[in-house]
Amino acid sequence: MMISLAIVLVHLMLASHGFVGVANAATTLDGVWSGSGVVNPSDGARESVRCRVRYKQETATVFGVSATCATRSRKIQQNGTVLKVGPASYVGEFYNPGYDISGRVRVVVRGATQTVTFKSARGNGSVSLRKQ
Amino acid sequence: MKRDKASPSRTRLYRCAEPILALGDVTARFPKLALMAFLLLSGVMAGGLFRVVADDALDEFLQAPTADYRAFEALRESFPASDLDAYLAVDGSNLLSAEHLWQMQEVAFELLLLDSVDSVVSMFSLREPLTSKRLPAPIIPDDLASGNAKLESLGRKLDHHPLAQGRLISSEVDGNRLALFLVALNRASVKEHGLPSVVRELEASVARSISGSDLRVGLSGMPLMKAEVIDSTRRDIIVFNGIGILVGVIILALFFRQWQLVVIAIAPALFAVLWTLGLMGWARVPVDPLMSAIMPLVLVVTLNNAMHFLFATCRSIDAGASRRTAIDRALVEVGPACALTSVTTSVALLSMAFSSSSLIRTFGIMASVSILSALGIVIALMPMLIELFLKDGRSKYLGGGRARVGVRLLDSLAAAIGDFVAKWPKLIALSGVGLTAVFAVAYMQLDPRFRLSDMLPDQGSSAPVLDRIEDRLGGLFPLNVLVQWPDGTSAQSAEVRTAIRDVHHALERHVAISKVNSFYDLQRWAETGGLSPKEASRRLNEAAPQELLSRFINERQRGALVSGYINDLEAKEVLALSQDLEPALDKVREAYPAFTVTLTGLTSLGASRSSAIISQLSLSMLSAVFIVIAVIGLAFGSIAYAGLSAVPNLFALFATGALLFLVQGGLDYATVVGLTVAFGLAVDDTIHVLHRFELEVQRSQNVAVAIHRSICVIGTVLILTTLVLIAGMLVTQISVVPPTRQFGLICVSTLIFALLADLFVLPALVLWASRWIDRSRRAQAMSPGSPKARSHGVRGLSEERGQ
Repeated sequence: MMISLAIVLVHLMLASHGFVGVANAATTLDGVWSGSGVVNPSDGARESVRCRVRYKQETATVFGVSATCATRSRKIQQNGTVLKVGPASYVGEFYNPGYDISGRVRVVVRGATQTVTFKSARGNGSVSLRKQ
Repeated sequence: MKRDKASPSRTRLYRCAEPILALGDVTARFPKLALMAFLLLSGVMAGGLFRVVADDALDEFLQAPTADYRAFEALRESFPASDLDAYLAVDGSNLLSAEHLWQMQEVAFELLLLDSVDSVVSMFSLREPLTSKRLPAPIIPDDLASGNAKLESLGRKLDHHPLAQGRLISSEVDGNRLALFLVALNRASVKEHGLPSVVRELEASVARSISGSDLRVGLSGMPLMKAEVIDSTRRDIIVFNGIGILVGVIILALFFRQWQLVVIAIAPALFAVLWTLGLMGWARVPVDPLMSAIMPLVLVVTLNNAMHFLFATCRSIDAGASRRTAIDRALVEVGPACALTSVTTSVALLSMAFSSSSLIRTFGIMASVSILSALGIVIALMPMLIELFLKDGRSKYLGGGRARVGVRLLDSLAAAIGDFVAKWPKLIALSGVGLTAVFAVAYMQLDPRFRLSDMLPDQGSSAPVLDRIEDRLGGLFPLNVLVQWPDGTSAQSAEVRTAIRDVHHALERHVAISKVNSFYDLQRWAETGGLSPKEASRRLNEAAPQELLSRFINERQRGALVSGYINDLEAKEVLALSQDLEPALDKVREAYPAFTVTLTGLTSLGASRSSAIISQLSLSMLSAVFIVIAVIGLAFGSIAYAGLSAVPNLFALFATGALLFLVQGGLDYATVVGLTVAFGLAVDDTIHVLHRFELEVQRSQNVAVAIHRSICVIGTVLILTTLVLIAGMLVTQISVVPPTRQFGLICVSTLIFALLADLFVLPALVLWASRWIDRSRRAQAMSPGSPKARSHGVRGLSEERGQ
């Protein structure tokens, strides 16, 4: 009982300093994230890419995604959903009719940053995003 | 309407206008109730203010059910991107250094991430020659770290790249280059947020990306210029109506020195402008630079009528009449002239309803309706304001009141003019007629003129940027050729490729065309990697971004766009250039008989349509002149009056035209619309003079006395009103939109010429003509067997009118 009380007290202390709250907020995908990375086309040279991604929670495990990415000369917009598969990881499928590309995306959140990796038959890439 | 013994007899004009004037009788009887009803209606109209929308109207000006406009619409349907291209110019020394490339790269990234931007084409879009397998690497390497060997040869590569040199990057001059970014705006975003808002977002994004850099950046292009026109128009609506009215109020206050008189004089004009804007809001008519000219027009006409009414009423009260009698007298003496002035101005404006331009048709109809509603406001509001604000038996309002200094000054001036005219009627009349003929010759020399950039704000930020781009990269105004192939032909077929190539060469060969863009450029570049034409075409379709290809080829609509770029030329130069190109395009048409090859685009359409519209407007204005003169003749029941009214009105019109000829040598759409409006204003003065003359002739039975008295009575009001209106109109000179400034200047000069013509030429003509008519009648009376001789002057004129 004393150990349980200690655990509760520690938890309360952490909560009063906001640590618990911060930890919860950091793993929340909701909001706008932006950052940069690279894209590696299977038939071309590697190129830098910048992205801005908006997530909106739709259910307990499903998040709507609206992504705008750009190389220095092209713009790609993609909407879709990702499914929460772990405490801080999400996966989804995508198809872009404009470029006729379909593939898989994986999101891993660490605090206020996340890494998005995407793979398709036409290439792969990854971007690191920070919460805005 | 009750009459006292001193009331004047009714003229024919009064009898025509009586149904409208009855409104004034009603409001005079029940002023408080009428005021409440009027304020309620005004509240409803004020609701329309919140629905007013500003627009640039550049496209609508040219909109018409003609073959050339239909060709333009076909172009826009197949290639909608071209009218939403903004240009970002970046220049500076050592532009291709790693540091500067990194900064420009940041700009490209930031722009592409905006929701309002669809694509950006720049030197960062350029790639190495296309191969059959791999996607070629960008010309500008991803790694911009200093010392990168690829950067050292970049300048040479760009100078020799077929898609770069002279298009996306200028050659190096004294270490300086200019790079061009074509930023295609998103249509849905523009529609949702409005062009000015999207442009501001663009400007903020560029400023953020390039902050701290020594590079010079500037945005230009059609969207920027249109946004400037919209912003300027919104500002002008507030400024013209605000400052113009304020200026008018100050002058009236200085003159009258009694707040009641200022309020009565200005209130109808304020309400008329409110009702006009409200009407535009409720009717969802966008307010563009042309529509915004309706407000000062309404202000001018309403103030003119209100001042005549106020002066007539105050003179009666000063002479000892009751308020009610004074109002009745004003309704009979001035009301008919006010009605006729509004009707003739409406007729002049309605002549524009026959234009093939939908914008000008809408302007003519809206302006006409606004003038008629303003007439109703004057007739209804003036009697109730006079009943509510003026008092019987008080000290004089004009002659003996605080306004006596100004009134005496103007009365003295008017009397002096009357004396001068009475002394030299023949000389003044002949001079007036002679000058009218001379001015008419100058007017006829005016050629239609149109330059697209003349319609755009000249103090905006985009015009200098456009000049910089044109200076380094050549013209930015496209002459578009739409190449369409028949159903069943593939866009990648050899036939389509060679047709596009042939049109491309036809444009390239013309000396006035600085560069040509088409799918042929991409094809040529794609073949530099050693691919065959067919293979290059196939790889282009696989590898090139769709947003780039769609600028040149629309497979679904079976069309290709070939654009030749020219400098900002006058319409007649563009027309001459288009005619020069036709033989070369005819050769292409002969070689590909199943294809349609059409020269079109905003530049070409602007040139062809504007010349037609301006000529049409000029013709309809001259028709309006004759219609108005006929209406005057009918209203007064006198051919002599119609003939006499022609000279001062044509004098004002042609004198302004002669001034235009000296100043700018040509007639553009703003000046011809301004002339039509100004003619309507000039006629107002003539009608008031003629109507007053008719009343005075009835009283005095002597032409000379009647003319002198008319000038003395009307002259004061005309001079004061003209001064107030000129001061208000001069506010238009602070507009940054050239057509608005020109319109204001036309109105000011016509008001001045109209005043001179109606105070000098018209009275002189009446005096001289009455003697001539009388002389011929005396000659008839002296012949054997003729009727008994009659006395000279007035009876001749009266009899000629059939009274």
